[in-house]
Amino acid sequence: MSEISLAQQKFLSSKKRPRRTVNCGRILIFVCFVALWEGAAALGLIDSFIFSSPSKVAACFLSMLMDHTLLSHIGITLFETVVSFLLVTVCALAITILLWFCRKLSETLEPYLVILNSLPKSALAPLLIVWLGASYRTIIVTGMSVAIFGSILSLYTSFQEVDPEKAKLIYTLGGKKYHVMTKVILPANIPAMFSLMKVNIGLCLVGVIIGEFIAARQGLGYLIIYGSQVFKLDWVIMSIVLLCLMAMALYGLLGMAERRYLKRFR
Amino acid sequence: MEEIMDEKLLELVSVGYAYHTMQGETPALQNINFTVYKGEFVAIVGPSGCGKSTLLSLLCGLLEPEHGSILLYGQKLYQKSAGNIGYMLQHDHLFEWRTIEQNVLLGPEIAGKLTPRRREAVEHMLKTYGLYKFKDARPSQLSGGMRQRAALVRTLALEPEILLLDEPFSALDYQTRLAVGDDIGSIIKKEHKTAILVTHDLSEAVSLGSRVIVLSARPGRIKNVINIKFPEYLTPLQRRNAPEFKDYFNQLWKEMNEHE
Ligand SMILES: Nc1ncnc2c1ncn2[C@@H]1O[C@H](COP(=O)(O)OP(=O)(O)OP(=O)(O)O)[C@@H](O)[C@H]1O
Ligand SMILES: [Mg+2]
Repeated sequence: MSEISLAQQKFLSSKKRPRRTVNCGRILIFVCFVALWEGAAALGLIDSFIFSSPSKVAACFLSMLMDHTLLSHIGITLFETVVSFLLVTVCALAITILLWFCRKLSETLEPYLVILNSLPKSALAPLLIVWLGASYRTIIVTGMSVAIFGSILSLYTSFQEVDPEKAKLIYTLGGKKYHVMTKVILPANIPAMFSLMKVNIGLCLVGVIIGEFIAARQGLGYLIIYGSQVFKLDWVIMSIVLLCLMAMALYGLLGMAERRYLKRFR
Repeated sequence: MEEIMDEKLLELVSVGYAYHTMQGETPALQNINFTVYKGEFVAIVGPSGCGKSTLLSLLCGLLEPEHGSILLYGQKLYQKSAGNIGYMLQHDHLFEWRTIEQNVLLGPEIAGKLTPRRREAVEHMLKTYGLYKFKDARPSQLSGGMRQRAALVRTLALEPEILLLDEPFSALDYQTRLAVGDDIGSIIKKEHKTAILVTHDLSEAVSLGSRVIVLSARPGRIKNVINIKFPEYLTPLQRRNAPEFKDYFNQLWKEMNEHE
């Protein structure tokens, strides 16, 4: 390794300093928020029965962890979210490929897809429950219904945006339409698929929670709705915090996979 | 040039083509007649939009002529014979998600002909044209000239007899353009290929071609054909300094700017 020049060192530290400030700021906000909340509840400035407090949430978390109810709630919500996410990914890809091969079909279906996509999907949930019964399968379908139509539309658009000259190249090399798909469209759209998946994981979580609000006996969504009905606000707030963590973790995993893929190009 | 170029490779007989859209009909080419013999380097020049790219698409079977016919070895041309004809597009279109080696092997891969012999031939070409060191690199790591050479190797990987080149150097700056033009001209000569080059650049046409076909403005018709004769051993770059160069250039220039 050659020695790092003074100017480069200066540059690096000048880049690092703002990073450190940003990180400190983030932690500070969190600590202040928790301290203020706890303090206000302890001093009676806010009603801890309604607003709960960090210590009560933590205690609630521990006690529910002890009696083994919490893990199954988390597990079922995670399971439903992951399954509906995987199904959305696979189905959206398969349907979009089909639409790309049959121009007539895609033109015919386009208005329907647009309508279904602009529909507020939570409106569908009660109907799905009546049709499919109150089971985890229904909740998975609810999760899918939130993400799938938008995924198909946006994936189809990015398929269309691939340079037609690249397709022409495949034809000049003696390829068929099938080769345009496998050699150009699919590989060219992997980055687009990653960003779509990052959006979808959040949407599926929203769909699953909506489903659990209406039709579940288990899961974090159920805990939220039940907790609010019986005024167990500790449950509600703890579930929201857990949902935040779950969303962050799932998003982080996808981000990691994406970075790993992109690293191949360096 | 060698005078024993008697084997007819491609023959165009009163070929015509028009594009049809809802807005109307655009006649692109009319009554094109010419013959390409083995080992020739034919340059085609003409004003923008006169149907040069259309002509190449017809020649490699991507489009079918509306009038007349195109014969390859005396047989009507179909898309299946595309293996005999390599088409190098204006832009290299190297895929960023493939390494240079994978890009160059795209043709054989699609044709299902990834034989060890083919791989070896391609590897040999990469070595000869100074790309072997970069075979595992991504296209974005290559200079414009190297990318163009990689695109040529990709076209040559299917071992076509005829090469169609659509303004292959127009994306390059002048300096690189001269160098790569010289390079690619020599490569084609060395591989004993027959080539048809489309270009805007008259000096490029004179420095590379053994015959220049001048097309008229749209719809493209053959306005004139000029035979180019230089001593055999001159490279494209040396041709530019030969005394005949200026005469050919001026002749073409007059031809292009003469309105009928
Ligand atoms: N797909 C198409 N649909 C309708 N018209 C087309 C189409 N492709 C080309 N044309 C028209 O046909 C004519 C010939 O096009 P072509 O691309 O062959 O010209 P060119 O000589 O290669 O032009 P340039 O020098 O600009 O590359 C143009 O005037 C163009 O407007
Ligand atoms: Mg063109």
